[in-house]
Amino acid sequence: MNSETATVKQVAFEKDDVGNFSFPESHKFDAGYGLTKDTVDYISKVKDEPAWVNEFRHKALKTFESKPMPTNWATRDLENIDFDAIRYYLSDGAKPKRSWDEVPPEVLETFDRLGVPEQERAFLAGVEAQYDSEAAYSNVKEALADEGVIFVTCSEGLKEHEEIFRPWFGKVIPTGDNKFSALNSAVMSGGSFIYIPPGVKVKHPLQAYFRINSENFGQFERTLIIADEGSEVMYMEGCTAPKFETATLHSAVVELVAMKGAKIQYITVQNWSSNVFNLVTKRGLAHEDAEIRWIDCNIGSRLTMKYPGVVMKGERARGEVISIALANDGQHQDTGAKMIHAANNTTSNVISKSISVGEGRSTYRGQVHIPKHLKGCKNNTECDALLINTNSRTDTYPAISVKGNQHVTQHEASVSQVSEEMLFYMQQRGLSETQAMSLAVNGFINDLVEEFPMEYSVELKRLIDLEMEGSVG
Amino acid sequence: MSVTFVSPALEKFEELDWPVRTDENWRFGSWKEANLSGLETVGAGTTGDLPEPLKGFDRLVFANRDLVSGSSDAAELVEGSFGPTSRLGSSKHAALHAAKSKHTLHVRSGADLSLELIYFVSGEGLFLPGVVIEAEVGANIRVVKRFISVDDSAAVVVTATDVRTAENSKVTCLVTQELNRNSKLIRFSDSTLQASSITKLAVVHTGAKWVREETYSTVGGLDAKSEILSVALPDTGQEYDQRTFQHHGARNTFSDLLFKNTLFGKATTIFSGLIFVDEGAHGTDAYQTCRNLMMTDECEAHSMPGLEINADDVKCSHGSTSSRVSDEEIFYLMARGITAKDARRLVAQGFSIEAIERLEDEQLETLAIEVVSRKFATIE
Repeated sequence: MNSETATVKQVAFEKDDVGNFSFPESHKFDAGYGLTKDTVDYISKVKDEPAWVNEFRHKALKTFESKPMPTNWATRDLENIDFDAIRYYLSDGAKPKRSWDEVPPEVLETFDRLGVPEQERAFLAGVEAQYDSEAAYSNVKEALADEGVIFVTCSEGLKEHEEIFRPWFGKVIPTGDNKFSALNSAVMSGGSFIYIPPGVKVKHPLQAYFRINSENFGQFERTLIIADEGSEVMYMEGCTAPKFETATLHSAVVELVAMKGAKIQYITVQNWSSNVFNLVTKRGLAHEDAEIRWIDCNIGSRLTMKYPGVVMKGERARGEVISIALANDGQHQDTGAKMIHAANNTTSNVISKSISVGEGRSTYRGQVHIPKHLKGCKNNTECDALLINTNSRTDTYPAISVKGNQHVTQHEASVSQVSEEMLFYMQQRGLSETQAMSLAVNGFINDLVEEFPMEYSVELKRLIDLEMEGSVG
Repeated sequence: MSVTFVSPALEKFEELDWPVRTDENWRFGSWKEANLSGLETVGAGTTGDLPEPLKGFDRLVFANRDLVSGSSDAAELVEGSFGPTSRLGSSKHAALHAAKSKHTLHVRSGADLSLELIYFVSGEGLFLPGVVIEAEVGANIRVVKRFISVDDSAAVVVTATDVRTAENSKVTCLVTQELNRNSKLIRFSDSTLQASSITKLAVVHTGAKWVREETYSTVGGLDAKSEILSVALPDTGQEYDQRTFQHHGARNTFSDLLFKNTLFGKATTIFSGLIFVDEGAHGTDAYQTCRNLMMTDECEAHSMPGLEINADDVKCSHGSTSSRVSDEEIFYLMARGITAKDARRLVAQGFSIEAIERLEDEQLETLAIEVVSRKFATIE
């Protein structure tokens, strides 16, 4: 065995190790299996929520029950979700911790296993670390607090900052938007609430680590970010989850509100284990001159359905979705973007690149909507798919509606594979076939990876290399 | 005692439902227009002014369902429908055709054949013509099919064409839809290609108030080549809903689709296209382009270009654009003494002709341009 394969084995071992760990569960609060009115009341009671939230949950539960599964357009794999076999709320009841010393040792172990580098841990002082349904660790840097930035859990937000929270909560994504946004509204727990005061430009990205570590336990975070006039913020979430025998459900709702001239960047690296249903609704509302960017990378999960959207409500607002998806054996990455132009001179840009490996399937689903009586709207959509193996699969389903002649839209999609010539050329220069393939794939997504912050792009490349392992030859 | 015989097709028709809002195949479409319940088939019709015959073409003229003049050695009327199938959302209409169409025109040739079919449509009600074109080994078939309204009554034409090509054959087909503004058209255009065969299927839409068109091309043989072309010029009160499917079922197959829509007034167009590559259909080259030229501030265009790829080593792409005539182009022409209105028309005409030229058949191109020009002349 030469040194190179040894490294590969080692890395692969580490990867399995990260994916397979677990530790004892000790939950003070457990809503049990299945979803009924009692479940909703139980969550409300444990979280000591005001009456309006409880009412909101009950209404959402009704909507959830009345809505059919969207299998008329989506994959039938959704029918395999057994809503009665899911525990909707688990919590150890611990209040958010203020410093690393107070964080339970199990959680620290989790971060160890995750491979969070030492340096980054220091940086994590400004981190919202989510452990099960509640944030187990929450510490907002003092500097941020001085500037008036609010960075708390969602439950804290709705109780302690109701005056800012409530006017926008559920306004960008109404409960009835889809079946899973209704589900989230009924049983939401965890997630973040962020408020950036006018003119404040947050220098460091705010981060949150999500973890699922109870079998059959779905996480239903609810995140609301409000960037007031002229402010700027970058938010990053990364997800990993240990492997379990049965499928788990993750159904988050993320709402962004960018007031006049504000900028929000929301970065996600999703690497759930391959038995997780990841059904997420994400949408931003951009007012005049505001900009919302979704930078999204999906590597894990069994089925991901996620179409980040931007509603451009004010003139000259800008929306952007940059998306990378990698589908391996047994995975279906059904991702895309939704761009709703609702004011003059709004512009949107969608760039999506997907890679299908083995029997993986990646799908792009997009919607661009430019209604009547608007002027000067522009949309550009590009989706490129790369197929690695003979059985790989890729689909593209965009829908573009344009009314009037004052706009410009263009959509382009292409499908290709790594050519034999390219691989041959690189092998001629001494690279192994795997290295050559890896290089080709990284080249394919390179311009998008650069959009991610540095530490993320390094991690991303490593993750993609690992996924590509064993796909050639 | 009397016994009533119900044909299986009629039974199937009655079992199926008319399209509803939630049908994915009817997204953005006017599913209500598609409900034809209670409509009876039209009776005998009248003929209108015959257009100039095309040189070298056999001409068959129909008044509604009856053949009123002309004949061709290669064409024969067979009783009943050939039974079209719909895989793109209008199964009910396909079953309607299968159950109620009076006869099918069966065109079969192994040599050179040029055929012109004129369908004069008159009276209110359903008209269900069907054509099967079989190109035998080595054949070169050209077909022109024109739908022309004789009066202003609200006709509903449900038409089906099935093109089947044997090895090394070629079929070029141009359909012109020149119905009145009260009529509806539902059109099924199927083609199945064997090895090394070529089809060029083009359509020009200028009339009707509502058109639903489902084009399904199965490129099933090595080195087969399928081209699908469309030019549409809808104005206020017209909606064209076109759905296409390019199905690649064999290695080294080629398909190319080009749709050019020029929208005037309050026109609406819907384009939904899918390139589908079967597992193992390696070496597929498939392209799909839909371009919308928006001439007014009130028109609307919906585009859903799609891809489903189950094989690697393929080259597939699709593109869709919606935009207006650029100010620079207008300025350039105006600087040469052309009025703004004429300049816009010139650019739009050039835009349509780009698709027509792909026919690579002078006679058919001339006819298509003539139909397009006639429409341009009616627009303010």
